[in-house]
Amino acid sequence: MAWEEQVEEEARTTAQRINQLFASENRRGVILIPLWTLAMTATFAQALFQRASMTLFDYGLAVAICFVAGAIVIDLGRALLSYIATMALTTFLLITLLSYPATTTNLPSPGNLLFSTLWIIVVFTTIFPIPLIACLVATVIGAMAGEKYF
Amino acid sequence: MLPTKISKRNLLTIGFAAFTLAMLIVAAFGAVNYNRFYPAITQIQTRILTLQTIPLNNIIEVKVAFAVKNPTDYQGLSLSHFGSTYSVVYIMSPTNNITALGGNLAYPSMTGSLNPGTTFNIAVTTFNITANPTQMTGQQPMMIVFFFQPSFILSTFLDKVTEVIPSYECTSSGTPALCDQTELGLITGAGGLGGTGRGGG
Repeated sequence: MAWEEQVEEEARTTAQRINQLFASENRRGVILIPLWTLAMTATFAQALFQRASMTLFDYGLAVAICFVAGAIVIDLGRALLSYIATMALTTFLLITLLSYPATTTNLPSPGNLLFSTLWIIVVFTTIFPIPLIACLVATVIGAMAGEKYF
Repeated sequence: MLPTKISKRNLLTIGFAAFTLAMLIVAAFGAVNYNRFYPAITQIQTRILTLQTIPLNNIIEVKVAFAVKNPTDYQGLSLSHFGSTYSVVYIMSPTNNITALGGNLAYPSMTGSLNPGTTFNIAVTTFNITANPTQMTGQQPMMIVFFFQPSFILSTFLDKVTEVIPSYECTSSGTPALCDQTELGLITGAGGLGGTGRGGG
């Protein structure tokens, strides 16, 4: 009996902590934008690290992430601003992650510079314009769905 | 006391965090292999495996075999379209050399995997050079030095956006020799960028 009470107490404390963590929309935004950025960066990066291109499944995953993130944010204006911040950070992180090893390895010059330029082109052609628009639409639909169901 | 409940929205946020963590783990595995890519393409070794010279009257038949090795841990490299040019220097005396322009060595189309630690042997190719570069005096060379410039297309995960073409220089007078990487060429598709990087190997 004491053990059950202890478990119940722990569950209650955890739930309270989680609810405190997301107590305000600002707090939720502060947590969600980095999470959203990391999820998008990881989705794009795992594909580019392996194939230097995205499959339909990878794009589907990115769209699903935007939909869920939109649903969590709920507020349409906030969702759009979060989306813009997320995509800007994702693009920056991707270019950094992909170019950094090329610039730090002792490649015959100007091969190191060519690789960095190549990755900038690959990242931009991978993200713009259709995936960017598709994720934007998914975020808006997600926000509308979140408004309806939460 | 009533138990505090976590809202559906908060549960979704926690699920989203868990998904992000899972994606980061997947991406980390790719990142580890990707970090080995650039050292790998600069460390791919090309060597002259054998170089035989067979004198036949006024000409010398030369048989050369190359080998390409991936000494790194990087997975996902393969080789295709191996080719090489050659030139010959006849050492007539310590102060007198004669350089003869060679040509291209003919190789059949080939592809080979360059798994970590494996060596891909290129088929032996044969070419002829003159045995007596100074026809007038008939002086025989003290030594013949061969210069080879092999290159090949390195198939990588970047094949959709660029071809990576390492070039080497090898010098040998009949013994096996390790070649130096001199260039790392990148050839991209239409509208893309391209160029070669020249430097030490």
